[in-house]
Amino acid sequence: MSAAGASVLIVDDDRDICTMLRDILTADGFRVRTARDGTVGLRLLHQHYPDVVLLDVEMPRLGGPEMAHQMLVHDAGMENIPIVLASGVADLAEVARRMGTPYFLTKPYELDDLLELLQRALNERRGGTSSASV
Amino acid sequence: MPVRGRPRPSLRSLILVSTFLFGLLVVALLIGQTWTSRLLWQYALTLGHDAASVGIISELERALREDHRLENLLLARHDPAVATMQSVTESDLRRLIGEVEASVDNPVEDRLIDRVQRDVDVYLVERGGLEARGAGLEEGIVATRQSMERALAAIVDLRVHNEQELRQTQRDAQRVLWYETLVSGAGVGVLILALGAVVVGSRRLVLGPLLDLQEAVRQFRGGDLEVKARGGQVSELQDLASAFDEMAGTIALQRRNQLTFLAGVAHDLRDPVAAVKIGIQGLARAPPAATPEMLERLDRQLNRLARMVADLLDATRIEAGQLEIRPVDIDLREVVRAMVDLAPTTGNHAITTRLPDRPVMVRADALRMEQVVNNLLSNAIKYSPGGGPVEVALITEAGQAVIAVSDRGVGIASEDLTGLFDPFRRRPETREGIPGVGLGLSIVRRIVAAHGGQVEVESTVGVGSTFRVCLPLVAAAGTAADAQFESEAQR
Repeated sequence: MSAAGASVLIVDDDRDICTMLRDILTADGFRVRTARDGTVGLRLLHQHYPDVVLLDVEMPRLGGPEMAHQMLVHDAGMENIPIVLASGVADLAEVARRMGTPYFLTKPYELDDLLELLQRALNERRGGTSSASV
Repeated sequence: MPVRGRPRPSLRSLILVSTFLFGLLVVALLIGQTWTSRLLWQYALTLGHDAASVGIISELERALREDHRLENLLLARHDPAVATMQSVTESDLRRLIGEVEASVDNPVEDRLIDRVQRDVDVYLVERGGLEARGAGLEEGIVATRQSMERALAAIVDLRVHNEQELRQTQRDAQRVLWYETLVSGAGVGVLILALGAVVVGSRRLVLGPLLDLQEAVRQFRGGDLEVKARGGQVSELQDLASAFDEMAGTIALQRRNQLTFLAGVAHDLRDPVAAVKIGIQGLARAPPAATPEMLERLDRQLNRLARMVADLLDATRIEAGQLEIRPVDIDLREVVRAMVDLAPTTGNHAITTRLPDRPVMVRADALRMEQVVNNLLSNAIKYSPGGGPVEVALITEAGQAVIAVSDRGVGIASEDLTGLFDPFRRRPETREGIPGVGLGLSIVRRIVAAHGGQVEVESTVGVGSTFRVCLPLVAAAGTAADAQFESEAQR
């Protein structure tokens, strides 16, 4: 599986999860940035415009859903960035439905499932942009 | 039908009042029965007396007729035997008149008897005159007919009067008997109605609410924790229902807290488990992303899990009343130093300690004291997620050692301060993003209380919190005055 240099923004309040995912995804060819809360995440989004966001739900200062909402209202174009939700909250499917993303993973998850979901999100994005450019 | 605005009657007073009313009714019935019995007995006596009078008067009438017959016989035959018989009837007449006189009981009767006596005397005198003259039968019949018939008429009048009296008495007695039956019947009717009222009242006021209560208990046992008992209108049962509601409410609240707590624990365990899983799968990949830091991270997450599990076990043991303490004289400064060194900070919290120069000796279990300081320190770090200073101060005042842990974190709303130290509670507004299982403060309070101390908290939302643990000093320790030298150590 090749990520072909796709860029991922990981937003999770657990430092170890951020770091380990960064190491693993970097080894897989992703370009990875991490943020420990939604506020930092939004700032990084503005600066780097990643191909996909891996987002936790419950975080200090700004949670995942609130950050996703900010992505919609603030900048044109950000709504095209696919979001993969990964969290331990009980009603994750409902949270994902309300956020309008079909990609969600309940913690703890299999690494392969995460990679597959990231790939699907990236493929859809490419498909979406190509169909839009036709 | 709830009664508002006035106090509910108690079952005790209802029983007292109804017993009193029943007693009153029964006594009234008994008095009425006794009175009518006496009255009827008197009527019976009067009836007997009247009947006897009528008998005597009839005999008097018969004696007069007999005397007249003997008179005629004597005038016809002048037989001495007949004269003897006549003297007997004459004495009978006088005796019977005496008897009738003796039983006189009203003025009308008195007058009638006087007339009988007078007319009989007139007859006897006229008869005696005839005999003395040696008159013949025909003369005799003519001479005595008038006086004899007058006497007879007087006797008949007396008899009729007495018979009327007898009938009157009979009628009176019958009337009394009728009234008595009516009143007794009414009394028994009222008694039956009252009994019915007691039965219906018991069902409505006692049995109904009791069955409701039983049903409420059954529903509660069946799992409906929100069920409310209806106590009805009797104060004792209302009290019972209120007590049940209170108990059920407490149990329901505890259950809700425990369920919330369990859900929280399950959720909090997911993050470290996820981290460990990611780490292990990362290590298993080729080429392995194994670095010393990766192993360190895994170790840290496992420690976190272990601490949460240990907290759970501790809380379970403490809640079950099995807190074991081995107190020795310890210097609290060492406890604070050790715990600050091991503080689980992420690096953006500046932890300051203020310690006196002299030892602060308390009699305590060192491990438990470390647990107290560690829990307060972890909380201070956890609840200031944006970083910021955390201060741990140890001072002595008024014979007590005080450990004060202050942060500039999110703070605690005043309504959340009550119950803050209860187990299985986590503040909902700070739950998100703050790890832990919500048992730390309850453990702190139990441990401190077991050492004879207390925990206090001051907090302002958005400004921060200060938790103060006060423990009694060992007598040999430094006095309060010279314990105020402070040193600062920055970490």
